[in-house]
Amino acid sequence: MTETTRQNRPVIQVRNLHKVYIMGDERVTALKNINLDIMQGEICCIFGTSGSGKSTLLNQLAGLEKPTAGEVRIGGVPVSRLDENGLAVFRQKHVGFVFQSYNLLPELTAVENVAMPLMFRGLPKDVRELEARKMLCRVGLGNRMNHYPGQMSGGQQQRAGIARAFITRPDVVFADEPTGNLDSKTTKEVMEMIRKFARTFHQTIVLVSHDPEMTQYADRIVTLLDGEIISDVKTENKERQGL
Amino acid sequence: MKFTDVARMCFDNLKRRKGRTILTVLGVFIGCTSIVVMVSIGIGMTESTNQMLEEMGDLSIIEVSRGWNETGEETAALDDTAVESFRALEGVAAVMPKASLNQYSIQMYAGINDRYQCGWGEIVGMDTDAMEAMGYELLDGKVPGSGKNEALAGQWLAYNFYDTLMPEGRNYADRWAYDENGNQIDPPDPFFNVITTPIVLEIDKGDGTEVKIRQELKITGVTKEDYGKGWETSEGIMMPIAAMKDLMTKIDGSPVNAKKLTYSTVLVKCEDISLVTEIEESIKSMGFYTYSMESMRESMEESSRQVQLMLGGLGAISLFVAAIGITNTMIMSISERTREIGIMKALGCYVRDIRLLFLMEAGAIGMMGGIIGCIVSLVISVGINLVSMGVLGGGSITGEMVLQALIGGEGVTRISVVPLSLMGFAVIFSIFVGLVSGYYPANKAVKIPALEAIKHE
Repeated sequence: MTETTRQNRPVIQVRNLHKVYIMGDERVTALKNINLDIMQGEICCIFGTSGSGKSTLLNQLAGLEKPTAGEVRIGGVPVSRLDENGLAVFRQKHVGFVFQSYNLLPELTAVENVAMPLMFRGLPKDVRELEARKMLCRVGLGNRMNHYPGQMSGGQQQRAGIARAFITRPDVVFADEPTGNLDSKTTKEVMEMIRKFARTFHQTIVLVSHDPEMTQYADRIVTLLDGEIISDVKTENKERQGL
Repeated sequence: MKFTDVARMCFDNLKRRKGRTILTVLGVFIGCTSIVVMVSIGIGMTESTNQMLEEMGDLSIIEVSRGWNETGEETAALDDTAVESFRALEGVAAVMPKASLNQYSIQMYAGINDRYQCGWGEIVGMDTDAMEAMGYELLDGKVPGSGKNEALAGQWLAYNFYDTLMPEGRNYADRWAYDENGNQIDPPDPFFNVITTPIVLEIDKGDGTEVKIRQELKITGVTKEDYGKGWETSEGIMMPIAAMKDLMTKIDGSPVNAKKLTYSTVLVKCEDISLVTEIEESIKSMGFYTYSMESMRESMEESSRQVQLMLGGLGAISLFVAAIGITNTMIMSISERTREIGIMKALGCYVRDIRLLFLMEAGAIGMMGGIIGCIVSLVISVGINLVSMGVLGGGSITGEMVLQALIGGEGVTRISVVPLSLMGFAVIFSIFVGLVSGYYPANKAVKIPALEAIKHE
């Protein structure tokens, strides 16, 4: 298989996706007829202002919410139709998350936090923590292994979050405003790191942001407005062309 | 997730909210303690009831006497045929026919020149071969063989003799001796040993003549006092029926009366207490009059069971309150951990692991409360027993007393009895209460969506 064919294979397929919220008597349409293919290895930024429906789209893509109509497939698996157990298995194997507020568990050390996805898979403590230490070294937290989240800066916490998202070598990593709480210098560090991981393991990143600066790290920018895709452009990214 | 990982998370969480965990455990422990202490008092009542009944007699023995109707006529004779029919009943372990020599007036002598005398004698003929099966205990010697004029003496028989050579007031060996404080002390030895000293019976035929028959008896053994089997085990003389018939022939000068001999009572021992009612009914239906401890025991057992239930129910109320406490604690903890649960789900944690985690937390609270409750109950139980044993009266507590208060002992009546099974049950029940209390919160927890992880605060 050549790089090109792998590149061209869609990992995420979205077909006729609708999401309607019922709030009291009112029906709020959050997503209208979304059709989208995201290729393997692509860093795709879903861009839009607050209320554009970008977060709702991410939730549907990652299987965090059920769509009102339509279907989401990841690697051919209809995520939108999986039950709780199926979703758990699917998330263990194929999906990683990077959250805006890092979402590290405060009472666990960095190593324990990073090792958590492997714990849910049933790996023994020594095996998964060895793996977590390797990941932490990779994100430059070799000297923060046994620190608790409260003892780390925002940038450090987010790097631990990235280590946790990538530890299972997932096909897709969803990043929800990953730098929303970080300053511009740390934002650059964190985004470079996400991109490096994605490139190294040929992983797909779905990035949700309202920050135009984010677009410079993406291969493709999907812009949402009022629940509809209004533009879908590929960026002229040098690094991307190198692939 | 591995079970050990779930367990580790569970205990980390309980440790993290130490204060709340301790307070919830406190509730369970109070509930558990009140149940255990209450039930232990009920068990103590049952134990003392049974002890009392056992002192009154063997619970598995039915005493049969001859039956009669309203006009006083005998409806069933206690003869060898009757004994055989009892023996044939299912569940009968042993049958002991007893005959008496009460129709004669008897005096007893012992020692050189009849030095020791007793004005009366209770002589019972019995099937000495069945004694062991019936549960008679010998303190000394052995059961008479086929030898003529051999007999057994009751435990206290020798104390009924007085010494004709001693002055009034000192001529008895005092079986009921007390010290100056009014406590019973060990009685002194009797004047003679019944096994080494032959006892002479002097029997008045009671036919108006002054002729008295003297018969020397060789005592081969001494029985332990047991009123359930008859007063003769305490103060009488027991001899084989054949020997008794020989004696009667000798007294009467002919075997006429000996041949007509019927039994005064027959003791029927059942293989198990549970068979007593049924066997007693069968014997009654043959026309005999029966008596056993069973009916009394049944009603006493029933009433102590009711008391146990009532006391246990009182304790159960506080455990119920504790259960609500567990549920409350778990719901609070879950609403605090909503985000955490969302994150765990988003990272691929199975729903079943989350449920297990919360059930385990609730179960662990129950278990800790149960274990502490059992320990505290034991201490309270020992305390109650020590008080009832008279510690408050100024006596000092010895290790032996504590042990007796804990596990009981010869002649110790405990108010509160905590058997191991009660403690085991209490711990398991507390865990169960924890699990039941945790069921609703755990189901609430698993319903928390992974979406919670992504919500911004």
